Amino acid sequence: MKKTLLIVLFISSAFLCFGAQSTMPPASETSENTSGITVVIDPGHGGGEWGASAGNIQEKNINLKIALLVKKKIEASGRNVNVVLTRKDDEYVKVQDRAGMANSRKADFFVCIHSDNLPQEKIKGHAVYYFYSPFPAQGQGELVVKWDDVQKKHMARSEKAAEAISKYLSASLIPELKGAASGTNDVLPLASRGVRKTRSYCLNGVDMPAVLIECANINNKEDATALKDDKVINSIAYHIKEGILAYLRVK
Amino acid sequence: MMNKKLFLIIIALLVAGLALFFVFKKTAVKRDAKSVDRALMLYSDGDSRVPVDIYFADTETEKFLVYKAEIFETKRVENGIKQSLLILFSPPPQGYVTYIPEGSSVREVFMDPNGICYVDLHGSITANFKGGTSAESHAVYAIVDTIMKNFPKVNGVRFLIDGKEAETLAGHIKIDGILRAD
Ligand SMILES: [Zn+2]
Repeated sequence: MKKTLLIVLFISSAFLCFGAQSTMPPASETSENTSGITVVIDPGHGGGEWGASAGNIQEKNINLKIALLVKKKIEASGRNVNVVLTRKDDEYVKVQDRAGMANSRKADFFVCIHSDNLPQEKIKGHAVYYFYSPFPAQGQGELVVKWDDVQKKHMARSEKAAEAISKYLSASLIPELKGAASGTNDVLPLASRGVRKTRSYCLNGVDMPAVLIECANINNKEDATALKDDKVINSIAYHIKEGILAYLRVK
Repeated sequence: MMNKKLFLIIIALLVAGLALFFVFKKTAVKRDAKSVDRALMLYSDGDSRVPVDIYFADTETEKFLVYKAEIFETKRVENGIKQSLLILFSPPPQGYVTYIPEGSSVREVFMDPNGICYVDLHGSITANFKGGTSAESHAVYAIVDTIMKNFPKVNGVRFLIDGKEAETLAGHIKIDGILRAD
């Protein structure tokens, strides 16, 4: 009798697990332990440094808006992830100080939030970058690490993280907006321009896995209009949060 | 009577002047092949020309679109590079876009004995840059590719801004160290 009960329990839990694996589960709904983890969210530019600009759009303001929302959403996910922002308002912070904040806290993940302005008005959407330098990483396992190579040590994991965030940013999955006044529960963030690697100045010197998200091309009319819509900003922040949690779960 | 005529002439001249000002202002950003040609001549050793590939970009994708141009033949590699960069830094021809902000210029180009080409950019490129990571990366490699794919003697490119080695072009891309074509 006991044996039959055990078998029934085993089969039903297997079915439950299988059901939860359908397509892409919201990263926030799984319950792996992420406590003690620190994520640094870095809204690019600020103060006198606007970053990209087009018309009356200044990149620094969009970056901050999204970053504040990502922090709020991670904290609301109940995952006990400590979120640190490199700036909380419209102030200028040196790139090196941003990296320093993350390094001194021994953070687990660094996420730079930016937007782009491409001369091609027809190009739209987001791209997720990780650091790349053509020089081989030196000093691994040695006492002295050439500082320019420090982010290179984390290249493989940064690439994995960029893929997770790009995947979630491209997904149509916004349960948070279900039942919203507008009735829209499926606002796609923006088109995807994929995962890329580059000699990023913003990720240089960050001693942990790190990615930089270019959320949109503000020179594209549709992207520029979308960025003025709080629903879209909310959707971008939601998907970035999902990508971060998904990466932290599997890293 | 005389005064009225004079007044009308002055008004007419003012209107014509204003009209000319706006016409020139509008065409100022257009490509002026003749003035680019005159600038190229400063770095030439004669009248014969050689083909070069200039790395402008496609108008609809982020991909580079090579513009087939000609520079004047010269014995000095530096002068050939200067001519090519003059074309890259001028407004692109129709059907092409550029990642280099308008009004940017090259201060100097020189080679070291190891084949490293130093490109000293005017600081205005940093101030005028409106793009992010993608745009800045493309701007950097438009310069590197235009140099390295046309001048095989060049073994790498190093950037200076206003005569000093710079860490970044405009805040997104690291440009210190040696850069090579993709
Ligand atoms: Zn930026």
